[in-house]
Amino acid sequence: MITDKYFYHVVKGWVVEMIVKVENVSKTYKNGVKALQNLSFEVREGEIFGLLGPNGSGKTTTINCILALLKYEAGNIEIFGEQMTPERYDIKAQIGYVPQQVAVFNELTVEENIDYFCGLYVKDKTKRKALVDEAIDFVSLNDYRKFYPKKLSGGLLRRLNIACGIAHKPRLIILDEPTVAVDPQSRNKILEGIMTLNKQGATIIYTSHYMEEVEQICSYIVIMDKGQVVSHGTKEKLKAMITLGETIEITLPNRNEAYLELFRKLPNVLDCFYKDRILVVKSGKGQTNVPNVLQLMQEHNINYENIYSSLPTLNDVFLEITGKELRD
Amino acid sequence: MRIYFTRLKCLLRDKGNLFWAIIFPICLGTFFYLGFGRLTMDSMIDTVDAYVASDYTLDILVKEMKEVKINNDKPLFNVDVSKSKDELEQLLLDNKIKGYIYIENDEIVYRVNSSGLEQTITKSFLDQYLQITTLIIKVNTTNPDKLLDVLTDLGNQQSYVKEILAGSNPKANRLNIYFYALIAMACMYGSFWGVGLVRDIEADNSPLAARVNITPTHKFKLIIMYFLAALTLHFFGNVVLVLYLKYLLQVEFSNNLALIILTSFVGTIGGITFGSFIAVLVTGSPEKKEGIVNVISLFLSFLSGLMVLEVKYFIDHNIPILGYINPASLLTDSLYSLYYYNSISRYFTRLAILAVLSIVFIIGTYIKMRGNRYDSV
Repeated sequence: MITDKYFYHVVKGWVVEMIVKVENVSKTYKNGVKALQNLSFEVREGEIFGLLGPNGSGKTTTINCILALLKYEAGNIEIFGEQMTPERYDIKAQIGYVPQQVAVFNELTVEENIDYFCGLYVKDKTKRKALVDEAIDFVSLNDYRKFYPKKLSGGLLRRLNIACGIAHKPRLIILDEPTVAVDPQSRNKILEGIMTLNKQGATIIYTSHYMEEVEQICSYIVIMDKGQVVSHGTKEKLKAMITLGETIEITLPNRNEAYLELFRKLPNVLDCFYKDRILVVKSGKGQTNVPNVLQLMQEHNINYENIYSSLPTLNDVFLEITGKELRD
Repeated sequence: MRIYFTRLKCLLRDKGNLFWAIIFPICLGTFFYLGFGRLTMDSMIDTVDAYVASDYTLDILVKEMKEVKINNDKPLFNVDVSKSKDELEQLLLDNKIKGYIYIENDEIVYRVNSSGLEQTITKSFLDQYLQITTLIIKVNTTNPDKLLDVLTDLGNQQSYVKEILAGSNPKANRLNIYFYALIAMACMYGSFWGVGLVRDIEADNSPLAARVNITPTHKFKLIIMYFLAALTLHFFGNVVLVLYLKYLLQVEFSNNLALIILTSFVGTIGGITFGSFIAVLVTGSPEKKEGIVNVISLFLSFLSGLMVLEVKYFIDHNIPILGYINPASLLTDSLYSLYYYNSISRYFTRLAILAVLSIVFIIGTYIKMRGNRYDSV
């Protein structure tokens, strides 16, 4: 059995390389804010690794520590099995980074920007040209090659930001909230692109506070809060960890507080409350409660506009673990 | 070189930077020219106190000095021949007078305790006096029959004052120091490029810099390439400024244009490295750094005589060390020594100090920036 430190893991008989290992990292900012507290996790080759957490939970700080941009007072970070430091240019050469804020040169066109950043990794001019063309294709910015960033919309700018980080075809791509303030069309395009990159062989670290995105693309998820890992696993495993099984939302013509007691008496109901005119019924694991809810409404002549049932989300996982919503 | 050319492209397309670093000094030079155009030589020059030792004097020299006028009724020198050499020496040591003249073994000696406008005027007068007397003596010995012609020619020439102070420029030469200080200020404006260099490389200064930091490009390489790009552009701007002042505004510099350009080159390096050094020392946003660098640059230019000429003389006289560590003063002094003193050694000393300061600045910048992890980004 291969036991070369943490460098290789054996999963279902396959040797999987450890790409990133974060071990007991703690980081306190000068203003006293404890951004990371004993943070540990591992990212394996081929994963789309999701770092999910509300704003201020320490996701970006984690990324900046991994990239050796930030000082941290305790812990250890390895990339590709090697200690990561600011001078490890050999490691940096294999990483692509898409920062949360758009970081491009306003004085350079779309094509020049991608070429510049790609050129910091790839010296060969012919090879670089092909990579730049490919990146432009990838983010669908062909029609905007000669545009300056100031002339681009928010979504297009985000795509340029991504292209600058991935053009050199890195082995590890770190995307820090790449879809913030992006229209739905661009967002879908970005998420599809990330999955394509992963299929092409890149390991992805993806941070977001949008649980839907993380659920959609990530194969492994770490949920963070207050600089700590509060839970981790696949989305299925995370959802299985909580008691919630189903959420039923009933839109009523009028809010009636008396209904709450009625619904609470249904079997397996964990909680029942109003969100404006919507009555929310949360049930535990097991069979769906929809038939019971419908029957109750019929028996008590409760009119409703629509009824909607959903399985637990990562927000529910976060809510159950921390007592607050991801969007808080 | 790709990094260099891309950086150059970025700088060229940043119109704000171009304005402040290149266009603004040219505008300021033009305003100086237009403003000073109203000032006449008479209003700029005051009568200079001149002391001649009573026990080592030369009557003809004293007579000439008393006869020289700035205009028809304003004498150039207020000649005092009442004190002995020993008395004057003591006064000089006590800083009560700026200099005195005595004649020993047929040689005119002018002793001063510092440099300054009055000393320059007196020295220039004495130089010219010596040239003329030497010429007359030489003609009298070699071609006495030509003496009358020579004296007639000399009589037709302009007065001493005009010879000394006017030159070919219709404005008084004293004003030139404002233009020298302007060149110094333009070089110091290179500090903005220096701040920009740090802003775009130090990860805690901008998201762009953070992005550049995680690439496999060595920081030293980035610093050098960004520096060279800034140097190229700003040096070009400063050469344009010098040529504009010299050929369009007819500001008098030394005849040695190459040395003036060299001054500008070293000054540009000094300005950029100074800006980058301050930017790595000051913590905070790039805007804050720019503000601080701006204030310091203007203050240093002020000390070099940009706004009030007397400040430079005051510094040179009372706190000379400040003149040696102030890049703007070193630049002004370099040009000053080329023009007023025609002194190459003084010139190169100033330039060498500035070069050493620049090396200190760039090394300091690199040491502060290299392999850095940041507290926050």
